[in-house]
Amino acid sequence: MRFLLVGQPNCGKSTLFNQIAGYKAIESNFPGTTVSYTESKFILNNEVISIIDLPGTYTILPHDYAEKVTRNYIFENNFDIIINVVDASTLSRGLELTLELLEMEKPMILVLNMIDSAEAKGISIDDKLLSEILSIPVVKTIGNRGIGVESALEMAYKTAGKKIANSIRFRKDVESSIAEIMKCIKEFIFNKRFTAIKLLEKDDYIAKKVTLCEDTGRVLSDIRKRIEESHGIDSEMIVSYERHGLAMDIFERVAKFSKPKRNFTKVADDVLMHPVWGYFFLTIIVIVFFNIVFKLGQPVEGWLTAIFDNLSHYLEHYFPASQFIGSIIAGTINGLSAGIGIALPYIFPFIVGLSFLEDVGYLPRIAFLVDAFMHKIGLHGKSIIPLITGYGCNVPAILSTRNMNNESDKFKTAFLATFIPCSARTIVIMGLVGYYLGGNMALLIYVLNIIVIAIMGKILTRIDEEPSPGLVIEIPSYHLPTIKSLSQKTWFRLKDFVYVAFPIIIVSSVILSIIDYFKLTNWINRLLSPITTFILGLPQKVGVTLIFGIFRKELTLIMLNQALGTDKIATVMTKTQILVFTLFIVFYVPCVSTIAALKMELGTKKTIVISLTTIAVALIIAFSARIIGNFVF
Amino acid sequence: MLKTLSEAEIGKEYRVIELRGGLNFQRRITAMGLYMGAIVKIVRKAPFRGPLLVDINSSVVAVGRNIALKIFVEEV
Repeated sequence: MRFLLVGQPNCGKSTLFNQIAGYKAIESNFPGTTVSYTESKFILNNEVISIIDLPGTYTILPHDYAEKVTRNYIFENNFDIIINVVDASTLSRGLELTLELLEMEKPMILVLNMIDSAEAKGISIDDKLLSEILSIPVVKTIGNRGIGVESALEMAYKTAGKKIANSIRFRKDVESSIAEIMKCIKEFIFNKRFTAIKLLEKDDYIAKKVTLCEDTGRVLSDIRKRIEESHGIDSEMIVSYERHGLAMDIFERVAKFSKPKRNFTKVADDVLMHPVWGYFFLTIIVIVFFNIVFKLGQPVEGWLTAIFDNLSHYLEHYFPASQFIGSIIAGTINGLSAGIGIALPYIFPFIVGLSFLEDVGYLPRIAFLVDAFMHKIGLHGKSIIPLITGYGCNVPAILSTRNMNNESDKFKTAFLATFIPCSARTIVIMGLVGYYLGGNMALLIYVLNIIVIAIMGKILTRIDEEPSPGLVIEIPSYHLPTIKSLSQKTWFRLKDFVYVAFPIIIVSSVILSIIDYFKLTNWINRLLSPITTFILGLPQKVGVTLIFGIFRKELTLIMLNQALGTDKIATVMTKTQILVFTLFIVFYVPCVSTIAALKMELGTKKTIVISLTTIAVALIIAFSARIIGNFVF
Repeated sequence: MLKTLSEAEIGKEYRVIELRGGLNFQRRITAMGLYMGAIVKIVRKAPFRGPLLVDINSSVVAVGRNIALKIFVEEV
C-alpha cells in the first residue's frame, strides 16, 4: 500500500513523516539528487506500507520546483490514499488545498496537525463537524510530540482504496460553467468535473493530458467572457476565489475562538525582526554560527587526516609511490582523505546548523531582513540562503537554488554563489594571506569578495532584464526542532553532497597522482606561464597548483609548499605575490564538484559561461592587486 | 481611499481591493491568502524599503515592496 503525505509548506508534514519513519520503519529509501520527495516503508497490520512525503505545496497548480515535484508525483504515480496534513492554526488557508484535493475524488483523510499551536492562538476546532462537511475522516495530531500519529495511520489504512464522493459545490453559475466544459471532455484525468475545473483554471499540464472535442476553445472563451463580466475577476482565478470563500465559510462553522495565550513568536520577532536589533542579532547569529563550524571542524580535520596519513604511510610499504599502482592507491587515499577528512568536518556541522536555523523558522526571517539589500544586486531575499550556504560549500549552495521561483533568479543566484569563498578557500585565505599578511588583510579579502559579488549581481541584472518576481514568503511561527527531523534533514543534505562531490574528489585525486607519476608538472608550468608569470607576476612553479586547485581548492595551499620546495612561503614569494596568488585562487573557476552541481542544475552551456567568467574576473582582480600591491608593500 | 499596500500603515487593517498583475502574480499572491476582499494587517516593515510583514487570517507573510506596489487596499 502507498500513502501520500500532501500539505502546504510549514504544516508540520515532515515532522509527522519523521515520526512515522522512525516509528515502525523497516527500510528508508533516501532521495538522490534528482527527486526531492522522501519515501519510507513501515509495517502496519502485518502489511508493508510505503509512505511518501511530498514537498509542501499551496495548490496543485504549481509555481515553483518543489510544487511541481508534488504535482507530478500525484498525477504520474499510483497511490492508495492521500493523507492531507493541515496546520490547524492556519486552517482557513489550508482548507483551500484540501478542497482542491477533494476534487480529485481520490481516497483521502485530513490530518489536523499542530492542534497545540492552534489552541495557543485561541482556536479550537470541531473535528466531527469538519469531517461531516468534507465527508472524509479527520484526525487531530501534534506531530512533534507524536500525539495522534498512530490513529492517523490506522485511519489512513482503513480508508485506503475507498473512493470518495465530493459533495462540495461552488456557486450555481460557476458550477453550470463547469458542467458546460464537462460536456467537451472525451478523455479525462481522475473525473470529468476535476478535469473541467483544471481547464477553467488554465492548467496547461492537465490540458495536454486530456482529449477534448473540437469546439472546446470556443466554449471556454464564451464562459471566460461571461465569468469576467459577472464576477469582475480573471476567469482563471474564479475557482480559487470559490474555494477561498468555501474554506472561510467552513472554517467559521467549525472553529471556536477564545482569548489567545501569550504569543512567543510575536515577542521574539519584536526583537529578531526589529529594524535595528534584527540586524544586530543577524550579525551575531552568523558570527557565532561560523565560529562554531570552524572551531568544531578544525580538530576533527586534524584527527581524520592523521588517520589517512598513517594509512597511506602503511600502504606505501607495500605499494611504493614510485610504482604506477602505488601512485593510484596514494591518489585514492588522498581523495578519501580530502572528502572525509577535510570537507566533511566543516560541512557536517554547517549542515546541522543550517537545518537547525531552517527548522526553527529563522531562515525566512533572514530573507525578510536582507531583501532590500538583495534587491540592490538584482536578487531578492530568498537568494540569501544559497549564498550563506556557499560559505560552507558551494555544492549544497548550488543544489539549493532549485527552490528559487524562476530560472533567471536561479541562474543569477547560482552564478553569484560560485564566487563565495567556501571552507576550502577559507583554508587557503587563512593559510596564506592570514598567516603571512595578517588577519586584517584576510578580512579585506572577504569584504572585497562581497563587493565583487555585488558588482557581478548588478552586471547580471543589466544583461538579463527579466525583472525578479520579488519576495512573497510565509513567515512561520517559531518551532523547537525535533532531533529526528534535524538528523534526517542533515542526512539528506549530506547524502546529496556525498553523491555529487565524493566521486569527483576521488577521481580527480587519482588524476593528480598520475600527473605526478608521469612528471607532467614542468610541462604544465610552462603551459601556464603566460598567465602565471606574464599577467600575474608569480613564480612559474605555481602553475601546477592552479590545476590542482580546480580539482580541490584547499590543495593549492599544500601543493604550493610542495611546488616551491618550502613551507616558508615568505622566503620565496613577495607579499604582493602571496596576495595576488590568493585572490586568483579565491575567484577563478569553481572546483570540479561545484561544476558538476552547476551542470546538474543549470545545464552545460550556462556552466561554461559561469566558469569562463570566473576566470576573467579572477584575472582582472589578481592583476589589479599586482599593480596596487607594488605601491602598497 | 485606495492606496497600495506599500503605503499602508503599521497596525492598521486594510481590505484588498485590487491585484494589478498577470495570472502568475495573482496565483502566487492568492496562494498566501491575499485575495481581493481579504482583510490584512501590516505588522511591521523592514527598513531601506524592504518587505512588509502582513498578517492574513492568522498566518504571517513577508511581501516585497515591488509586489506590494501591485496590491491596492482600502482602510477598514
